[in-house]
Amino acid sequence: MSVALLIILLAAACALLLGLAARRGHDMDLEQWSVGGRSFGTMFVFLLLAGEIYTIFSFLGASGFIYGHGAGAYYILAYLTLNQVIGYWLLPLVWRTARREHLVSQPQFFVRQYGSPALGILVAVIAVAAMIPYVVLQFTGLGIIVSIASDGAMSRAEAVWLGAAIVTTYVMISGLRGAAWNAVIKDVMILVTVVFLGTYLPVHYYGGIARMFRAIDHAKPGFLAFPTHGNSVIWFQTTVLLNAMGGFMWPHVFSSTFTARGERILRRNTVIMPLYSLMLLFVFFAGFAAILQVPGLQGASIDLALIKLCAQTFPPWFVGVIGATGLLTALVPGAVLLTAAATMLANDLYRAGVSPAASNAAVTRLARALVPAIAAVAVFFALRGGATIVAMLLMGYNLVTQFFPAVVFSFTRRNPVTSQGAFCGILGGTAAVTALTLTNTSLAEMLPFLPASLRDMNIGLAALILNGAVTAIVSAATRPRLAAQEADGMGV
Amino acid sequence: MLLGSAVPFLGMLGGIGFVNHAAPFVLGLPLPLAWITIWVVLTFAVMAAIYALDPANRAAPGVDPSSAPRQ
Repeated sequence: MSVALLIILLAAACALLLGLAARRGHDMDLEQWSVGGRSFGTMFVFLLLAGEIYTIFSFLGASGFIYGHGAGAYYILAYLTLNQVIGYWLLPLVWRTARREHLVSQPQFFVRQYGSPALGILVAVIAVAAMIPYVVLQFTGLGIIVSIASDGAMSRAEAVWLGAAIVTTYVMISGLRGAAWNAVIKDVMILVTVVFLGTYLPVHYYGGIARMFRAIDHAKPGFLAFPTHGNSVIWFQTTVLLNAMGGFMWPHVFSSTFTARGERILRRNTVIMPLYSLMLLFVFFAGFAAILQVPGLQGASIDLALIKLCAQTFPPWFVGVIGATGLLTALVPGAVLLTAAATMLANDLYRAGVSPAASNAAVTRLARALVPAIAAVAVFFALRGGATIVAMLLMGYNLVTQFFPAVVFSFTRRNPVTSQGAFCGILGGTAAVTALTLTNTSLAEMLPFLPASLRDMNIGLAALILNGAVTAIVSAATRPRLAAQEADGMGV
Repeated sequence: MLLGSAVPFLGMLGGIGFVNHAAPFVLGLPLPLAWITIWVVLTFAVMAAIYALDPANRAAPGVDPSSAPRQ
């Protein structure tokens, strides 16, 4: 057995033990299992929210996207920053509602704000659908990193199964607490690894970061700026805007704001977070370093760029450490996502839609039982392969961003959006995203009359515009009745 | 202050069209990446200023900030 594989397996064993030990001293009722009993301090709220920045997506996905598409990947740094600006204003409002109404999940937020159980069920279905590709990409990345780091000693399929088994086991037993313990170690490891790789690789291969960029600009002119077609400037602008709006709409991120002690903590977090996301620059540097050193990767294989470069640069034991870091980086978000998805299916679909009389204990049992099922679905898609990591995340973002208008309007003093309007708008927007993604249609094909400058617009933003239009029309049609009722009620 | 929050959006997204070529390299970075990086730092500065000015963050400890009038 190779040294690298040994180190990776050791890390896997540690992650499992740590996840299992997290249970000690806690009765795993629904609230403990799904939101850690609302007892996490400031530090962990920060890690939960910051954890979004450092998933396997930023490690392999961002560097792979740099390798394959160059400038396009800059969008990640831009949206993570602008997302926080929106969060500064939005998160305190969400937090206040959650505290007032004792919410534990995102669909409940919609149920309370719009007084519509049907809307909650719709949101739960879409949220779970959006989270599946997010889990899939964690498993895909895990398979890539372990199989290459172990130099083929463990196949990609074996690695995906192993990772899924570990994360399923500790999530079933310890819930979100299992992830909490691993998250701390993971964030430290990934930070150190990323800064080291982003500095060492450019210096080792090119003699410095500035020289590396000059070498790439010379070898591939135009690669460092946005192209005229494809990932163009308009693609960048619309994608950043869309993802900035969608960032806090992920159900697991949305509900992690519930765990904060006060709203000032949330504002402070959003102010600091842009500086934390600057670490992505080092991921970019590592991805750029791979361009001229491991040429020839195409299609979904671009995600392999960073780890392939590491494998040919470092001794096996160090490749093992990088592989172990990658493993943790996939397991932690995987656990958070599985917990949130299972909780929503059990609480917001089964209890809200099928069996309102179900006890907390029954819902917890069901949520736990659903974990391996969701993991199995994700493994299936991860093994089928095909899409790049970034493509999978972009699709998830396109779906969850459809919640944004309804969330924002729910905070206006006299919400012009009715529950019917929100329902139809979200349904229309997500239907458009799904149809366009499944048929792989670009806007240019669908709307050939669009001026060339707008053709690369992100389809999610187009769907959001449709969503807004439907919401406005249906709200206008259903509002007068509501206003009349309200007026009656107030005796005006 | 809400208007101040629009500045990072205008800067990062609006300005990108004017700096979309690799050269000149700024601090070794290609211009679009340097532009975005500078705006990440500026966003931090803008939001830190807003945080300092926002009356919601100045409520005395113990006072429920959600009951303080805003806007």
